Amino acid sequence: MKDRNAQITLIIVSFFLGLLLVTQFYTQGKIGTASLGQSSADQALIVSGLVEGNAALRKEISVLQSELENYQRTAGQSNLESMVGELNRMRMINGLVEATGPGVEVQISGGITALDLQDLINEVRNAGSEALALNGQRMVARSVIVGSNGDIRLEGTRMSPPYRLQAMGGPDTLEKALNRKGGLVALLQYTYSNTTITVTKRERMVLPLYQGKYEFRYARTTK
Amino acid sequence: MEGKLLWENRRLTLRLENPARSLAVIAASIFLGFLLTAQIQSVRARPPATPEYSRDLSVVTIQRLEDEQKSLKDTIARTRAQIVAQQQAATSGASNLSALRDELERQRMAAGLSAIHGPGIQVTLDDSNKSLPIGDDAASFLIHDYELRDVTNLLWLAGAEALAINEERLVDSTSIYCVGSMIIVNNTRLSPPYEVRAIGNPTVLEDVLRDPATLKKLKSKTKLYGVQFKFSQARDLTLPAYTGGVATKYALP
Repeated sequence: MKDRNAQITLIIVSFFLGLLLVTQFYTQGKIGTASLGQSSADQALIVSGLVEGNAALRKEISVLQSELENYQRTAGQSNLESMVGELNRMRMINGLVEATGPGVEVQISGGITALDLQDLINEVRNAGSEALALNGQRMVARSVIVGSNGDIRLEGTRMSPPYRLQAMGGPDTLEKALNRKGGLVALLQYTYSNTTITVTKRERMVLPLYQGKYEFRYARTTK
Repeated sequence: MEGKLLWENRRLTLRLENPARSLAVIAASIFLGFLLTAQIQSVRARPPATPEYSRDLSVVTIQRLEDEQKSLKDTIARTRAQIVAQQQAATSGASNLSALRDELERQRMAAGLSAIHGPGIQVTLDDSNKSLPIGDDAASFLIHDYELRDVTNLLWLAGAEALAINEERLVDSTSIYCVGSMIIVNNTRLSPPYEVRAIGNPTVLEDVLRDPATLKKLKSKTKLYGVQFKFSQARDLTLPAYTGGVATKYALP
């Protein structure tokens, strides 16, 4: 009886020893990767992004609420006016109207791949730009730069350097975000050592309207 | 295996009848434990999405701010829906206003402000399920922001009418970027799996993803590291409305 117990005890202990060994190995792995993205610098970035973002959302809510109250309170002609006003705002958002305002201009003196240029667009959007144009052509969500071997195209238009990317928004905010150390502009400048990339603040820019056509043959509004 | 567990000289000793065989059994048991645990453990290289209880102030702050963000976005969605309802009610009788209402609906759809549905393609991207080998770079086992950009850009070029990743609709101001290993779209943190939904011609959209000339690096990552990339045509997909702010501060008509 004692021998049998000893046997079983031994097997169980060994089993758990194996378990422990594995856990030890994998915990090491986990600790290594758990630090990915949990650095305090990253967390600070996320916190500040959320604080700013939530403030912007609150502003949007107050704009929407006064719009709603407008509809609820009045009727008839003013409803029509409100709807026309909203239509104009929507067309503005969709790039179907010329946009005027301050911002920054990113100038790229030489060749850059379509992929890097598209990544720069993403970076500029992330910095908070409200409207974009590349070499005088307005860009919206579905405007994607393609190309290879130094020849880039944007929605049918062939473009060559130098490139001028105009981004509408707060000039200081945009310039600071784009020129930050370790940002994409810095990385691209390092990669394309023969090319100059500069970010210039502009008090007033006029971006043309978007030339593409919005077509919805498959999408329908859910009622 | 036969042996005795004895307490002698204030020490626990194990006297084995047949040491060689016993040791073999011990080794086998350890190995078995090792194997079983390796199977059960599916090590995710990405840190958990919802922070487990932690005294870390930053983590708690982020959780609170994200809860706030969710609540604010829900309010925006609700208020926008109420405004649309008001407009419907205000123009229901007037046929002369139907053109205005239809155009407004179209523009809202283009701006990403209405929930929409239609045929298209569903793409799923996820981190590898494979256990992270010790010493290997976790980055190869994860889906990155630039891979999501590559997929969505490809779909736009192929004629997608609208796109969404998880609950975030892609609009003009949308950026897809990462902080650490976290992917952020529309200033909102997304967790894997990443579901990219595109409305458009399902065959055309699927063909462009299937084409061996596209997304070469991503496709090779699926083979080498087990990163997950699946897609299929869909008859009717629903894309949520964008719930961020659209009021421009600087751009004026």
